[in-house]
Amino acid sequence: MGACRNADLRSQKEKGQSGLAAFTQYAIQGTDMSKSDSLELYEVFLRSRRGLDHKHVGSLHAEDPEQALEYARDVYTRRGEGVSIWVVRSNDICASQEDDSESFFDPSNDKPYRLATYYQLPDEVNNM
Amino acid sequence: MSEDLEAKFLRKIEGEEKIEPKDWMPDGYCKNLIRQISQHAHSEVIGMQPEGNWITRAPSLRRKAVLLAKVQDEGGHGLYLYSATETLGISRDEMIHALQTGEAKYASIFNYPAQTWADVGAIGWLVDGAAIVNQVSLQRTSYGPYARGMVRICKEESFHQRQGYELMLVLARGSDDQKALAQDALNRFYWPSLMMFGPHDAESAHTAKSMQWKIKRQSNDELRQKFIDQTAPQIDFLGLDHPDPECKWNEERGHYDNGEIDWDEFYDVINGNGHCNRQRIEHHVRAHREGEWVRAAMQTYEARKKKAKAA
Repeated sequence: MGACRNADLRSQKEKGQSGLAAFTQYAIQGTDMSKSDSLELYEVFLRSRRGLDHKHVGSLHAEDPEQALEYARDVYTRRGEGVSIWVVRSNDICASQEDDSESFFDPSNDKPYRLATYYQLPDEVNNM
Repeated sequence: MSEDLEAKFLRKIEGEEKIEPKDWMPDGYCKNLIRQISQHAHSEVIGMQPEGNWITRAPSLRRKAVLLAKVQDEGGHGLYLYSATETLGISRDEMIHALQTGEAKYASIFNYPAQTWADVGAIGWLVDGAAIVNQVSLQRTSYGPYARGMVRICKEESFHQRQGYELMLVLARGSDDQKALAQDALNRFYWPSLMMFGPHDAESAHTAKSMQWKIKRQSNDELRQKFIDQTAPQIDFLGLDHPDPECKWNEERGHYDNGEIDWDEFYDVINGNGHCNRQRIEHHVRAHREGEWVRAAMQTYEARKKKAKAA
């Protein structure tokens, strides 16, 4: 399967397409083949220990949120990785674009004075 | 049933486990948290006023940018804390209402005016310094969202104290007038900073229960002592006079001894008679009212976008 996919990518590249375009195309084909368009994509967040934040661990397809929770339990916590799971419809996530990150995060990049290390204090009082 | 739940809750507390928003918790625990976290949030937001007053009068562009960034942080910290409080089922509107009607308190220190530029230094160094001592301890509080908020805030807050001390250092090493300005700011902000930790443990209304539930991890007096101990050498290094003539190192205790706080002043300010109590709330009410059209415009725009999408 993996080899097949690589071969597929290579052949697309040889035809002069970019890897990304080829991959996108492959992904769309994959969706068509598996006929999973009736299942929605969910993002899975795990809290590994009480007191810690939920962290994103991956995604899965499910019929509804309850089902997604059970799948997430089966797929992502087989070894006691978590004490709490959140599932969120992928479509409900509004994300910033990495391609735009330069301009998006620009307002804070030139303000080093927001960092504690910007202030040089003499050794005697430097443990502040 | 309810006994089981309470026993389970106490077992978690006992075992140093965090309580999370959807866990069962006693009513008193929830109320106590709402009171403390919202009071903390209000303090961040009201705390923007005394310093915000100096942004346009900062002596250099560098100092202005730094102060702006600091005040901006305080607003952000208010947001973290309001959000943490909201996980307990109270709305932002209810909290703002409680603040504006005086039903909820905020740190009394912000009822003192920032009269000179040196006050900006003293506030960063002493007021934020005292807040950090308290907040470092609260990183271990038993309520998960509050604890995580504290971790985030402590990470950001260290620059507040350092920029304040750096400012004081420049003044203390400056002309006689500048040094006098620094001494005056220290004199006025030292005692109110000690009061920030609240009344003595024996007189503190909420301490016992809060400690049992591990909302608070160290008592008012313990935290205050920590602050006194860390501040004394810092005053010394600036070459300024200590505002408390009784502050002496006690070899036996391994701590600095200190003179008694003027508790009449403490209660007077809490009860609304500080220099700026009325002004702070009036300003908050006015700013909130003046922002009304922005909130209304956002909602109208949102409704129009939804309508356009549906059509």
